Amino acid sequence: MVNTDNFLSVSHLNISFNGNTVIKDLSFNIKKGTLTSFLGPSGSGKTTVLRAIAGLNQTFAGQIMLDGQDIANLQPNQRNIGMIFQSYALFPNLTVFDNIAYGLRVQKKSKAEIEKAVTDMLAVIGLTQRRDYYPANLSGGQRQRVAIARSMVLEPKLLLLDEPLSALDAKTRVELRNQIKRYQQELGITMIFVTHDQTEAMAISDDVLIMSAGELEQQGSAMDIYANPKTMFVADFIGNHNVLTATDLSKLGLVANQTDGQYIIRPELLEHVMPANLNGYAAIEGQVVELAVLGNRVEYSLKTATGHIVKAECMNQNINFTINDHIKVYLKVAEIKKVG
Amino acid sequence: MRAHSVDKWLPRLIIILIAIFLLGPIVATFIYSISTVWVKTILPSGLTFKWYGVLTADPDFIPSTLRSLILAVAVVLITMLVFLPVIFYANVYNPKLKEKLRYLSILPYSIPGIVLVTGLVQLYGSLPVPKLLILILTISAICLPAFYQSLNNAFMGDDFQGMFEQAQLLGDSKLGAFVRVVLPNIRAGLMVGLLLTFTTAFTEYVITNIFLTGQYETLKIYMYRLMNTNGNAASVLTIIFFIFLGIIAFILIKIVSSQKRSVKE
Repeated sequence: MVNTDNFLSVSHLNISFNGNTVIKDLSFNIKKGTLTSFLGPSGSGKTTVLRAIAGLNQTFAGQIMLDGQDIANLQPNQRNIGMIFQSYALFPNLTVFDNIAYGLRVQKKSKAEIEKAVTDMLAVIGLTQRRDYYPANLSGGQRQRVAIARSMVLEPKLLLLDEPLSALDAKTRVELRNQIKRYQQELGITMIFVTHDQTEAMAISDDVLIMSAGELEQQGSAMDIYANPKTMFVADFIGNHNVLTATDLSKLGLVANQTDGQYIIRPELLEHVMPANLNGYAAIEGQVVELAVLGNRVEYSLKTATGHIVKAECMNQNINFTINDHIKVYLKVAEIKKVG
Repeated sequence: MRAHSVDKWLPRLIIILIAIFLLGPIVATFIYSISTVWVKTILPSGLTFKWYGVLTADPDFIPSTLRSLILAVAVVLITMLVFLPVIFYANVYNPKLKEKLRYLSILPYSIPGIVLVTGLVQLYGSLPVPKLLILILTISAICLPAFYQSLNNAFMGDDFQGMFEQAQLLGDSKLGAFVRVVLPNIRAGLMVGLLLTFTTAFTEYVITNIFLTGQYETLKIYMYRLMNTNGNAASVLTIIFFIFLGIIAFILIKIVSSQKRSVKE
């Protein structure tokens, strides 16, 4: 019996191209039925790992187990893994129906089975009316939905999505992001979603795996990673945190006698309205030097008398200051977190 | 006003002169092919289609046509089986190889036929390999530039690596993915390339004539021989060649324009 916590198990994966090691001793497990995001900057090796799992890059060292089976030496067409490309990779000469039916036809399913499966899938992605359209006649979001349906109709053990939203406009991105999450939950498919957008990863994932320069930095739930980053890279990449040393904290009058190391303060924890009870709170005073209204939220920066720039944010509705004002912000001292 | 009038008429006049320059010999050749006698007179003495009968009745006509066909079909097959997979691989997976192929494909233009034949005779002349095979391979190499360029353009439009890999992830084999996904999407470029290859091989003269020293008489060699013995019959053959190339050109134009229409839709 396969442990569902280790549905996909990658152990000691090493990948080199032309003598350069791009993936260094990478090991991780993925639970069955979850959506895991690979998050990291461009060039961190996310897509390379994805291609190794899919069998599109077979020159690697290490072990890849899927559902208890070692798949490292299997061809891509023997793995039962679906993959969605950033470019959609739809077949331009085939209609929406024929694109989705491609894999079923390869499996030599009967006409009736193909008709039913594709029609059902078209209903799931909301493109029943577009079944006879060619990819060239669809919008970017519609094309990506067809690409997702084409893979999902085969009920793959694992579905890999390689930056599937990056070519889309902001509104469509959010819509499709939520749809992907809905498909995943309704169909119970295990998915890996590659992105360099931390908001996207946070919004969609059960689990997030952060990569940098071919190495795993941290794996955990989105909330856990955001609240407790283990490395400076994660703290810097995942949120807009204030990163301070023990000396900085002392100078700002927040806490004294901290052990050496680096500390983070999340910007949304700095409150510009004085709390009713100041017990356990410290205040930071400074001049507002940056102010950005982002719809429902406001991001701003204070310059303190010590010369530190402190980033903070709040909801838009009760903001009572403007640029160049001198204000105080309040922080629960217990919320200051040491990195690592 | 006067300048405007010149602007309007001068280009037309130039085009008409060029058309007369290009079409004149063809029209003259056609008239010569249907004339009884046309020597030292402005117009032929009479008209006849007998030279068409004379040419088709010549026992060398059909064999030489078949030889040209064999040569062209063999070259097309080699192009399909050898060059097509290499150009696909270079375009999709190996851009460095694509660069080398580009330079390699220019070589046949820069080496004169006579130099090529001399090199071929010295290099392969003594090998126990049929010379016809070497000739077919050489003409295939000469056809590479046109074929390479036609396919190169076809590979530029879409993400062929993604499509090829996607087809495999959907359960297809490499060969199946190539046949079912890659080939239909380069159809127009492939057809243009193959037709150009066919016509180049079918009408090749210099290398075939020198390398096989006239032992393998193709239609083109037969045509040049005929010019020395029967000018009228040679004119008939020239007209047949012209019609054949015209049909190929028409098909090419149809393929290219049908591709444009599908893009607009």
